[in-house]
Amino acid sequence: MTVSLPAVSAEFAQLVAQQHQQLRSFVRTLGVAPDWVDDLAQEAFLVAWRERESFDPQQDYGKWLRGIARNLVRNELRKQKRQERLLHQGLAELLVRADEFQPQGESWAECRVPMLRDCVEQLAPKSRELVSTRYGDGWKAPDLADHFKMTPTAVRQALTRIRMQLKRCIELRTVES
Amino acid sequence: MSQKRFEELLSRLLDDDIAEEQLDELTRMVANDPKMLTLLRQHLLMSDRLSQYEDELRSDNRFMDAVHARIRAAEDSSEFVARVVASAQEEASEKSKLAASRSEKVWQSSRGMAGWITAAIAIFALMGVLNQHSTQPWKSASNGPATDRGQEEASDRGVAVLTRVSGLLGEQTSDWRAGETVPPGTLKWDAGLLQLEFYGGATVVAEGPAEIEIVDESRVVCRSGRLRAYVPEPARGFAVIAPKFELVDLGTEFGLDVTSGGAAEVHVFTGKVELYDAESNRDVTTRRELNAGDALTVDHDGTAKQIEVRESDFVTPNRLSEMTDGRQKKQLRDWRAFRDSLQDDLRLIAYFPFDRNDLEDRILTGYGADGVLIEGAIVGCEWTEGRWPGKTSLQFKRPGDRVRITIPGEFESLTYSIWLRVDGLDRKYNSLLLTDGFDKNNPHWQIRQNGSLVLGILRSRGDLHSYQTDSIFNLFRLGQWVHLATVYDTDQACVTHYVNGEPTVREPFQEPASGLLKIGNATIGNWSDPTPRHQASRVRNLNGCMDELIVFGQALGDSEVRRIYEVGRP
Repeated sequence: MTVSLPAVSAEFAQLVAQQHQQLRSFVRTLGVAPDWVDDLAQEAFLVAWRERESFDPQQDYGKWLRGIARNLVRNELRKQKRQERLLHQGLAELLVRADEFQPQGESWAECRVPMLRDCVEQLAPKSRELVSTRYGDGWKAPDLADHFKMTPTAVRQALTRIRMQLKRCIELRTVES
Repeated sequence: MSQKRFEELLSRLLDDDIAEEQLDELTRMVANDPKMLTLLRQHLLMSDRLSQYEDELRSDNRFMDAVHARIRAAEDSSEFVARVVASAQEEASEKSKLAASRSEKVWQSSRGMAGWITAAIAIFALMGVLNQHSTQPWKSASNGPATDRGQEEASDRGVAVLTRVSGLLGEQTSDWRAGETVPPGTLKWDAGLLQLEFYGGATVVAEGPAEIEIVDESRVVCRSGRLRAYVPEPARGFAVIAPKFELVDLGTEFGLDVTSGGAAEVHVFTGKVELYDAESNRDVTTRRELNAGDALTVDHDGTAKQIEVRESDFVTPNRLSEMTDGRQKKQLRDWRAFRDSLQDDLRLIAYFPFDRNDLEDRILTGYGADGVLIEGAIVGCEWTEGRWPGKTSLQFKRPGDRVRITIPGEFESLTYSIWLRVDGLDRKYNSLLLTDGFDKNNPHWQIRQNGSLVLGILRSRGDLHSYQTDSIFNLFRLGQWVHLATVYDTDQACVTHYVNGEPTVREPFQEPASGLLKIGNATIGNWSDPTPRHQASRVRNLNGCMDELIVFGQALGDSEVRRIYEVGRP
């Protein structure tokens, strides 16, 4: 009679649960291609699990994980073959360096789901629909343009505006709370 | 101008619709303008957060499952000791959960002989050693809260396995089933036979009315009852303590009959035994030897006299085996009558009795509403013996094993009922019946790795309602047939889980029902998830055997679930 159990401790599972959202979006800011963001973030947690002995409990988990993710992207940049996990070599190099010297660290970037949800759900109906069709269903600007009877450029501009609006909404709520 | 161009390129990048030379251009722009670089990073971050929030394929659970799967895969090749420790800890944490569980969780709290047992004291010691190396709480490979567990386990070790039962009657006996691990303690029953195989190697067939206290793996106290013990060489020294004497076996087969008045008979069939006076601490001056063919009666006042040996009064393991075979045949007949009657039940929407069709053994034949035939496509699984000899079941073992089915219709309420034998909980989620993908109002019925039974229903994007039990499978529950049922009752606005016919948890709807439940294309014992993305963690294959699966398009009541259990109980 054998039983196989989760390999990780409850505490590590909790760490993953607490950190994954921020870490995944952070990985995106290092210039990782959208389809590979989760893959690389998972790898970062795997490294964290393996290297758990080296973690200093006084340190901030988030910072430690971000350091691991940065190293993974650097490894990716060193690869000779095509770097399929990255958007663009030059851009990724720039973004990794930028993070090293000017970490983003804004509180809004750390925001948890409820805050994001409140802000997203408060969007005007059309903006809300634009967001869910773009990010939920994965439509790109030309298709969205047909559907919403806009030009592709107008769709892209609208999405840019919405993202900034959400950023401000989260910042405001962060300050209030 | 350059600001406008930057915004154009940025929005193209975030639309995943940007050419290589545009990326070159964007890179050059942001390299020279820190403000643009900051803006780019902010948009990338927000874009990803929105994608996580909106895209079901990137849901929290999926991501966390994938992390666990990757770590597990990486650790699979090593850490055997850690796994053993983890299973011991799991066991301990289930035990402490049990202590805290509410009285309505009937099954868990009334398990007389049940297996809340761990023979893992040595492992706890080992665990202590391993934990000394950990400076952080989450470094130990455990699965439960890192509290001081294990202390309560020490007195609760299994010492024997209940291997056969026949015609048991008595207050305690309702959950005594073949395959149970038996800890030290008193067994008392009014009638019927049971067979115990002690870890020390002795086999005992005992007939009620009887009261037997199991002391450890080689000692029992017989206060009343008739027992026959077979003690092979490795089990020598097996001792039975009767009211007036202690019997020590020297490698033999003997019978012992203790009446409720305290008088006892000893019959030696082969080999020899030694008798000592009760409570004499095996004082040699009180020793009597009995050889094959000897029999003795000892009165309640301790006087002994020779009698004729009567072997046929004591049921042998072989005879008990024949008796249980006969009982099993009757149970199989009763179940078949139930199966045939069920096909007329108008509430039925899918019934798979798991009867092997020799002509088409890759088809799982089922019955739908109005007697319509449902064909399930068997993938990988192999046929094996089910609850009784002569009954077939499907074995799910490999990651690809599954049965594909389609259940049409939409339902306000649903009842799931299953007979299964779980051999291991290998995955984070172990499928019973899962709809393809996980769309709105699709029910997902499965067992989590911690052993809890879960019904999950997606109400809208990101809004998962999950109804689950405490852990119902532990190390010692594996490998045994168990009946599980879950009722989603819209009229009563609650979900009820049943284990072996008893309701274990009844939970009100987390939100009023919105929309009818749909099963449609679905998979038994695994998950078919039509996602284009490559993810590592989608395997939800069951490790075990399935013998009967029923889905009703209505809510069944407690007594009906109980009846399905009673008629199908092996």
